[in-house]
Amino acid sequence: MKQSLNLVKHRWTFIIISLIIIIPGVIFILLGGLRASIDFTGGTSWDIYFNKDKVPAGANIEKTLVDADAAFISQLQSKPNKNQAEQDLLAQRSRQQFQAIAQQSDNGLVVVRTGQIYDNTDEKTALTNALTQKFGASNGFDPQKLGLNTSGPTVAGEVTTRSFVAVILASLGILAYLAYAFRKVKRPWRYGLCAIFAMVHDVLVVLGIFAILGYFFGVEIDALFVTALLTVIGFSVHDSIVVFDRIRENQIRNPGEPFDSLVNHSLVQTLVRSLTTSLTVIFTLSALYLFGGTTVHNFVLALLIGIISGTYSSIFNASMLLVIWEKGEFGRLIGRKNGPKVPASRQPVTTAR
Amino acid sequence: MHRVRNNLLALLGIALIVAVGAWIVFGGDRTENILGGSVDLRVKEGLDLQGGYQILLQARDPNVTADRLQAARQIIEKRVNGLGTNEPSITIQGNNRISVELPGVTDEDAVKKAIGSTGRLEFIQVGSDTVNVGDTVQTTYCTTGSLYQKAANLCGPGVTSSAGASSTASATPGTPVNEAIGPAGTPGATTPGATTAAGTTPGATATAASTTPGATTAAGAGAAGTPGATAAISGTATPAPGKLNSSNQPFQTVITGDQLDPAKIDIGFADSGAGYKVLFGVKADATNVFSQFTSANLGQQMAIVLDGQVISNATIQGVISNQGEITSPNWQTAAGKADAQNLVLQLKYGSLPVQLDVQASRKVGATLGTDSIDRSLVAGIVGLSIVAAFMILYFRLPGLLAVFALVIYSIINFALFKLLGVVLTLAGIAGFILSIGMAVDANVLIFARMKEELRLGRSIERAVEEGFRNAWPSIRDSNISTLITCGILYWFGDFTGTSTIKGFALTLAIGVLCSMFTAITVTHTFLRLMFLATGSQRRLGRGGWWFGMNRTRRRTEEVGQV
Repeated sequence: MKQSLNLVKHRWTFIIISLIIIIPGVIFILLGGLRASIDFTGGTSWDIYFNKDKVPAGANIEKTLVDADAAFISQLQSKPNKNQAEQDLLAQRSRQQFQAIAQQSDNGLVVVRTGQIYDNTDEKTALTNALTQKFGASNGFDPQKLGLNTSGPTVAGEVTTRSFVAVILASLGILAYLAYAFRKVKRPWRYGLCAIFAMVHDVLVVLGIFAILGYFFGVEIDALFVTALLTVIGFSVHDSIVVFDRIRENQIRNPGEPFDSLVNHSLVQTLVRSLTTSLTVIFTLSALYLFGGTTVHNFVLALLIGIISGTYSSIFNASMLLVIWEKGEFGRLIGRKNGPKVPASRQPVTTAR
Repeated sequence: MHRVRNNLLALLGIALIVAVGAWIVFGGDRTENILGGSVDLRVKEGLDLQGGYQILLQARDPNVTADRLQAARQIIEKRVNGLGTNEPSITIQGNNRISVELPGVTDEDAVKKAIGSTGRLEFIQVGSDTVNVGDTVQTTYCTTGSLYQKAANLCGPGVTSSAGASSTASATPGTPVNEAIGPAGTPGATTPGATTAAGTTPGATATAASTTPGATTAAGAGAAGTPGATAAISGTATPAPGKLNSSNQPFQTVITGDQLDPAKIDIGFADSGAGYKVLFGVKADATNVFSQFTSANLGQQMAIVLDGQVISNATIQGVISNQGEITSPNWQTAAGKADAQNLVLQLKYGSLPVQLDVQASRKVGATLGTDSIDRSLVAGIVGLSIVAAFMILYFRLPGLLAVFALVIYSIINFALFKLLGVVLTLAGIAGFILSIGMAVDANVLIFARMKEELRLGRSIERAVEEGFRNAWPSIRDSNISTLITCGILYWFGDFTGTSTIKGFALTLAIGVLCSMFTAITVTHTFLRLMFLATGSQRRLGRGGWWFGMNRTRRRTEEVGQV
């Protein structure tokens, strides 16, 4: 009989592949590639739609907005009886200059990030009028289509904290559930921790790729990105669980089998399912990415990357780590500086009945 | 035969659920009467699908009480209802924030007016004229001030006299005058008119003015009165052009909410009979004005106006100096209590308006929304078709069954969205599409297990049952982990003040739960019936193709089995 696929044998290779993907991402994260959107920093984001073929230069849009704002502010300064928002606005503008950064997107959309536009003042109207005047007839700017997203500093700060808390809570919650679900298996926390490790892997992959995208294309991460990240966490663990579940089951069925061959069995048995499920999700998400609304583009992209990474990590990392841990290879890795001597399992891992 | 009957019953149950689901989903947008209750079956589209505004407000006062915030919320809701939005959602978030979502609203100035100002509460002299609750009236406040504060331009020079947000509300028919206002009685004090009671029979009161059936008053003056707080002008709302009095003049403003003592506004039990009354206190520096006015206008009408709209109209029953009460025959039932409480809220708010600052806002262009819906629809159809094709090609017969199950899943899912009033957003649609993956996954897990059992040479029936039994822990554990994330996402989204993230978490969670249901019941029943029909004890002979088993591949895959 033919020997079946031995995945476990190559466990270190798989982990090195992961590192090759993660390390550049981490470098770009450290380089400041992750661009926080106004959801985290505060400010205003403008979704400006132009005629698809007549999108003006970004610098032109930026200048129009900055000039219009300066004109509005000087006019406001001389206005008697300013309301609270107007006073707040003036105070803010004297602290920090109004800036605009335009970012081309597709379908005639230009996203411009500016300092916070104050509601309850006429600032927005003034700026919109300037845009209409300059780009209305010539570039097809339609104020009706304008989308505006403003986030004040208080909310932004709290969204940032909550994002971290949410990710940590999700990890802990899943770890606890896994430990509970696998309580009858030897060393249940190990499963939880390995699943968490795979999850961290996926988070790093998504963050890394977005850091690279941010670094080169100015792609920003926002509250929806955090949502995608949390979903990826859920999916990643979802995948790991299916594999672990097999290991749990096979352990009971064949108590005497060596652990690495047990894991290999379980992996091979679940491989089709893992790939099928991921493929269906990838199909639907790709359709959403290609045909869906522009505003959720990056959200869907983050989900796509995360789910692909999640499939990989659950098959090639989470279970491999279980084996590595079980064999005590971590200790050897640290103990001997010259790297791991990968002890390939020599016996055929699986045999036909 | 027992089994056949059970499975047919299950099939009948599924058919019933699908029929109800299809009736909900395909019956169009409507409101239905089901089991006596009205059920809203309209698809609620979020901001990003139909355009509109979303604003997160925060009270400037960090110690704002839940009561006052609630009052502010109600007032915004009232104003917003005139803006022509179909699904406004005004909710309190945390302990000092109000989230306002106005899908479909495009008039920016109207929105600004509705939320950008605090409400102004006025007590106005109606005299012998008639105003009804809900009427919009013009008052003297902005022109010549109140009796308490006679001054011009109290509304501020920056305020234009354009139509306020409340102007549209004037069309609502008012309820007849039925309230009475008088000085508050100290508990236990016998008072003239008190015996006439809060009218168990309308019209029975002797001392009450003829227009107010069942009104009662109590005398006796409370001594208290808070030292004069500064009467800051909080109102920036402009009264809409509204009703004038019989001499074609704006109604005279007596006092405004600033002269009310917020600590003394409360609901109380009516002095006799069942029911409730509303108590209010007047600040010390305004007691003179108020007692003079009430003594001069005994038996006449006085109305309470919020943002130019009449919220209460009563007959003056006695001289009020620092404490008054309002009674109404409508407040004698438990149901009327809510109305009285509402008035209390409005008075409290009017006496101490909550200053709200915009913390975050979002505006989505209207035309963008329709575009997004079309695109999402295309994406959904394309995605589903690819998945269906893939499932059938790969799993063949069971794949076909799974696609059926998927269609049923989609129907049940959408029916739930409609029933539960889930607000659909772009992210929510993404959540639904993701959950399709989950639904497929459950089926794939089951089929994979089934295939294994078949390869072990089990009978078809046994393979089906074992397949389900073995796949269940994986389905359960993995879905629970997703539900955990959904819970955290919901919490996270609740905080950011957008329906987007919450919508995503909700649709994903509903999808996951729904997928467990369809995988366990629908697919299972389909498979059982299919094989009962072909003979359940049969072993798989050459029929392997139907189960996606390939003779050549089978051998290599089989090696994986122990």
